Amino acid sequence: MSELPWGGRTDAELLAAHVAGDVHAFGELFGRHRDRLWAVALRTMGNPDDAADGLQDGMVAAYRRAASFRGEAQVTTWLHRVVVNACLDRLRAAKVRRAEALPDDLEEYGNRGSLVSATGEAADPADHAVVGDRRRQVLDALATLPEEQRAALVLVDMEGYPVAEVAEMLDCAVGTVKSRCSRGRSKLAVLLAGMLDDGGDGHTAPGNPPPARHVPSTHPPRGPPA
Amino acid sequence: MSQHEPEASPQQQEAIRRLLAQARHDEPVPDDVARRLDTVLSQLAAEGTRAVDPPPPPPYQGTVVDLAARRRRRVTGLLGAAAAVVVLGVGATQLIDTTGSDDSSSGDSAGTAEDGGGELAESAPSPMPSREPNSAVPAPSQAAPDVPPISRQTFGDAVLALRDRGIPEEDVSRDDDLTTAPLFVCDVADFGEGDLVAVRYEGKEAVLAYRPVQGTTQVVDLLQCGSGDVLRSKVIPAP
Repeated sequence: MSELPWGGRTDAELLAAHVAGDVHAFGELFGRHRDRLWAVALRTMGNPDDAADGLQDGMVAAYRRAASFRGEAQVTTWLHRVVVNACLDRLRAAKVRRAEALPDDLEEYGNRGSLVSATGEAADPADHAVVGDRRRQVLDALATLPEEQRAALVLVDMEGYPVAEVAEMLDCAVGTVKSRCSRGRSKLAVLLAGMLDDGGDGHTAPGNPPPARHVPSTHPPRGPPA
Repeated sequence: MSQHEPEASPQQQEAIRRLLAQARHDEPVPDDVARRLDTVLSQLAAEGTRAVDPPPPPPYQGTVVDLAARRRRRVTGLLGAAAAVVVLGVGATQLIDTTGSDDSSSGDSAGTAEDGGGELAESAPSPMPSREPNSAVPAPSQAAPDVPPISRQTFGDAVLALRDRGIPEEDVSRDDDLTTAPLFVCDVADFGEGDLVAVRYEGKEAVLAYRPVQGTTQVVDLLQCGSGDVLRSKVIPAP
């Protein structure tokens, strides 16, 4: 996304201009990628309030540390890296706070994931559509994953970034990204076994069978009494 | 979660990928969030160039440096920083051995690889417990012994272990460098508040900054020498 169809400055040029003192350059640069960064922050954090905090942290960090960008990656990759790290830092801080506050319930709460607060899908009007329920189940399950696995899945499977680019964003090896994704999907396959069955892929999820959700009748609907 | 959970089949993995893709958020930033971000950007812009950190120096190219002169400059800079400075184990003997020098001027009080390499130097003489057997900090015998070595994989555990080994409460009066390790070169930068610890991260000089405790947590930043750029960050429980 560094080239603009209307012939404007590239991402790298805008970043360089920002470092050189152009007070409008960073706003233009961030504005180009803000929606997608928001999507990543929202899915990583799990709710709009924390996502806004994470995105703001990342934006400020990118603004201040723009001069450290060496051009070894795309500007958008670097921006994602800064924002994702800001989000992960917030999640880890929240996890520590929760662990300190609830030592007796650590296991229970640990299994609920790392969200700063509850999964705020109820506050996301867009998710009240036809597919809202399935989406909510997926996001609830996603929220239970360790933050590193969640971030990898958000970037690879949700946002569709190449694994190599995600490795740069997360500052880890390509194999690590693949491993995190695979382990995260395996956990989701257990949690979402019913949805996989609904999807008709013909495979039973590993682990214990999920609780029955509904038993469709094999008989035709009965008509009114004769 | 168990570490030995069954791995999903390729078909299941693909199904999960589809579900995740369908759950992608494709709405723009909400208006209130956009306004908030714009406000913050305006505030940053009002700061002018002060809001943008200076560019870091180019990567180290292995040039010959006058260590004594550089250390004098660093001392001056560090004295201006309101931060406690910590000196951790100095293994001059091992350092010289590692670098292949035949210099035999290493101090008698220097830590050795066998004793854990973790004794504090002269300015921070508080007792330091021996390294835990399962400590994530690599043994000095396996790495450069002048300052604590930290790897990418063990970063989280290492910062905890280093802090638990002891950081002086206040040590701002000492007129020394981050470390007395003779070949540890770390140009001064604005490292910010907190307790500073010289380390080698992935073999390169760096600084750990243990930020002031906030509530029940403490932020630890791994800073780049010369620029103060945050390379990594970790939130750990307050001591």
